[in-house]
Amino acid sequence: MKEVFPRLAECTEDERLDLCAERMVLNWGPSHPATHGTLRVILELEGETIVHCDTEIGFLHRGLEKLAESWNYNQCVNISDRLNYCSVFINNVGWHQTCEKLFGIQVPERAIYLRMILSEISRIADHMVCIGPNAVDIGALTPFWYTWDIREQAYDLLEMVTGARMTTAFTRVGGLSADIPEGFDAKTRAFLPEVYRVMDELDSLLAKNRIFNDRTRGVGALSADEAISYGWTGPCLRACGVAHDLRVANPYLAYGDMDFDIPVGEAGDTYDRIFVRIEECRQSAKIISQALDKLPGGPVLSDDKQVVLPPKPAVYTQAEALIHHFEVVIFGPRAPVAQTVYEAVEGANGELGFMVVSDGSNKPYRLHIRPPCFYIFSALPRLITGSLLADLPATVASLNIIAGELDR
Amino acid sequence: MTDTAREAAKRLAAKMRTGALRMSEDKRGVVVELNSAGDLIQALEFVKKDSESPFDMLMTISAVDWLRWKEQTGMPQPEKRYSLTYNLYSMSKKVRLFVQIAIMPADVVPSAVSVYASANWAEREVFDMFGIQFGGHPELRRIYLPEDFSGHPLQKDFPLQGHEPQDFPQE
Repeated sequence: MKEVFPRLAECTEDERLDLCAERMVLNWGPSHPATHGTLRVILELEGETIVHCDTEIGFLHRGLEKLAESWNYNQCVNISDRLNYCSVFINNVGWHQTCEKLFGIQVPERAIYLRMILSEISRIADHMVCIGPNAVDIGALTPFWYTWDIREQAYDLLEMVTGARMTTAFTRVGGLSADIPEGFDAKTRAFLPEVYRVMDELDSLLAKNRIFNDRTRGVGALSADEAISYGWTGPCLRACGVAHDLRVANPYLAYGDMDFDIPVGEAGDTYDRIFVRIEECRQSAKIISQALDKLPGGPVLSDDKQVVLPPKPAVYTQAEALIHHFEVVIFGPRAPVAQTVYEAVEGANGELGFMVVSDGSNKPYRLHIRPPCFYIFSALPRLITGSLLADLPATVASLNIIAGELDR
Repeated sequence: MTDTAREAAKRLAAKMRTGALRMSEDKRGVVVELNSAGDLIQALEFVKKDSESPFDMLMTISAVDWLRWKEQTGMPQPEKRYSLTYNLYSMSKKVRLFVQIAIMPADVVPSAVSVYASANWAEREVFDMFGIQFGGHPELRRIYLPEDFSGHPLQKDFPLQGHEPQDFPQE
């Protein structure tokens, strides 16, 4: 046990029993408004101090990896929808990027840029979902309305393109299922100044707020070395001062051509995690605006007959095209035999990786998903032991644990 | 990119006893296959402390059950039923290295928790889904499924819809 109240140590055993009676076991979750998902934390308290912490997860376990073994490569995009449900499009991209590496397919330039734009819009929405409720958990209701406004606008944009706010399922092996509708460009450009405005508002509401500072500075802090050992990635790792971002470290899509910074924190505490996310939203807006300027024309789906449906007029008039249509619809794309691939994207929470083993059929032999939340949450007992009970909601919210991704 | 990982794998091979590992490359990058699970911890410690490119992060541990491999592909069946892939990343050089071992169902794999903290939950996940035992793990218990669940669902002989309807306690 960590001695938290030094005066207690000086007490005699009788006085001590009088003072703190006995330890209390508190069950936090799985259904609790501040867990933001179904997860359970079992705490042993001495007064208000957490002396022992144990976690239990799996309440949202749906066996997605087992399901994937009976679904074909295009159907599996629905599995990625149900990982981090706040920034679904990034998961879609991650999954199909893995497939494309497996099949050896080139994606058209326009699809690459659109994937990047929609990923960054998703990232902004995800960060807003993290920051708003995090502030509410520690008693600041006002920032929530600003963040939720931006989140709604981001979801409106996604809905305009994909038809769904959350479960977008918009990518296909070889590109996207459709092009952007008319007016998307203008609406997105009008959205970007709003992002900058709200980030400035959040800065002014939170950065120098005395209560907010007291509740978040030094709370749930982790050193950079430990964060690396725990497998932390994404904004939580960057808050610890490690400038690691897959978009820069191992550039995918067209991130290599974009000009943006990696914001980093210093202390690795709740305060830094929130402000790294706020700065990342500004950087995402910067990427979106550059990508819109450079957006090339052309198709959004590859013309590789092995994986993509042939154009409808050809299906109606040519036997060969009809056969291709039949093959793709009934069997789905077939992967080369005995290949193993691992591809990762920078999800809103960190490295989201997919490992696929193919057996030559239209379904993966084995799919393993590396969710960022899983490894971030595994460090919770280390973060929270010895601190006050009220620090727990603040810490958990700033880690942005999404149960869909945690439990798969 | 792969050059850095290849050099690191060569340095690892020089430090380990001869014949301890095989190097190969596939679509993932450089894969180091260890012939014996007993060498695992030593190999992980070496690559973690590598002089040029320390692989300081264990991203994940991926297990594969090869039980139906021959049936589904017509290719030769791997000798051992499971394989474990340790997905390592070097924060300074930004490259990946995959360390792989093959094991039989009864084998006990030495736990990597002493080398990487992230191995704790990764190994619990592999145990939960495949029933693979890790020796020296501080608390090897199920992570996703209830303690009284029977079977390990990602084994290939586990039916997609489960063995029988499971009653979960209602409180």
